[in-house]
Amino acid sequence: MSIKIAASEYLISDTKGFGLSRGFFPRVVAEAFLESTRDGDIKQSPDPVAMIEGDVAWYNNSPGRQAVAVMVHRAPRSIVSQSPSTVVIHDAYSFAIGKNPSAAYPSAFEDAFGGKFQIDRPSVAAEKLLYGRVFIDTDDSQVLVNVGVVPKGQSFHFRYRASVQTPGVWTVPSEFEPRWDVQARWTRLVALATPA
Amino acid sequence: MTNCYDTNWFVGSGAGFTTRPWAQYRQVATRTVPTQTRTFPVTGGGPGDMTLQNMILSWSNFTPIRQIVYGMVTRGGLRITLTARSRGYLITKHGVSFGGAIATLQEESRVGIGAITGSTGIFANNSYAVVELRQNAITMPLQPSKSDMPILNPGETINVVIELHFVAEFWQTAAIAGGTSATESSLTCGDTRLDLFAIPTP
Repeated sequence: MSIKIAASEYLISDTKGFGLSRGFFPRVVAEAFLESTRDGDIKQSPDPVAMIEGDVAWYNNSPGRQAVAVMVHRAPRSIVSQSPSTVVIHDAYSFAIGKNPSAAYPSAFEDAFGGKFQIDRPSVAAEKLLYGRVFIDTDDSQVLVNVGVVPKGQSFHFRYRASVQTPGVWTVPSEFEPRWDVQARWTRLVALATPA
Repeated sequence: MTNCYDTNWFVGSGAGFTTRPWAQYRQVATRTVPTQTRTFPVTGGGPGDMTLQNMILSWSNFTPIRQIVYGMVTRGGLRITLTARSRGYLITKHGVSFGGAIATLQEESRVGIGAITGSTGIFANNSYAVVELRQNAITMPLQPSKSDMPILNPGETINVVIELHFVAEFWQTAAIAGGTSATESSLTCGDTRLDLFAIPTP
């Protein structure tokens, strides 16, 4: 039996001894593995259509404040597009901290993967389209999102969405078979916490 | 009376006994530079080597113990749209120095695109084509080409410089067949953020 001393939230002092509390250590506090529900052929989608959606949340049950960051890890992604159209996969996320937080549905249009290879002007007629097809593949990638400090007894909520969109001109050729394809595969969310 | 514990790591007060704030891994500094968008003439003079974003961030080890410092560089979403035959890429340069020294910048990342269409011959340089590449926001380590992480003694300072350039490797010289309608050469580069983290080390 040891003497109990007054200690802060990152230390434990009880009858068994004196030590560091779990909240003192950097650690993974929550994880989510999200899979794409819409990989494969696509049609024209002037507005983004969700491919991967999900969220991760964590309640700070430690006695101290915790700084939280979420690592968004995306799978290798691929698109196939026919000239003159554009195919992109948008990534978006949002988060909230509070007693009972609910993050807004995310929307963002600056974080995307994809592109186009356009060898006809948008005005060209379907039967006059030249044949051009582009394949774009990318490696997996990670982005670190600083969520902020979660006070004790509060939670954070992090929402993620990947969606496919075909902005701009879309002409379906009449003289050959076109192909449009997207593969978003998966996204993993890893929430990391450290004492703040 | 001397304390019966190491005051570099622990502190005792009326409220109790606690760890020092620097006694654990944590974020110590952050800086963000905003999105940049550029539009260029499709033919003729290209942008050459153009600085899009740059930042300097310093952190001094004001703590009484040594700290390992590392950085994470987060570049926002990127879009590069180019009319044939222009080719261009975005490069990210990192530089690290200590104290009052000036950092030497070194290229650590490159992404870009370009396209050429048409058949051979002297008139095969003006066909219409527009190519676009978008890349997601990415987080990369500061100076990934270096294997060691610097250790700062108490009182020492680290300075980090990040620069993003757009480099036109080649720019279309010919007038595009059919005129400039529906041509575009432009780019958008999202927010770039640098986060510095410190890990205490005895």
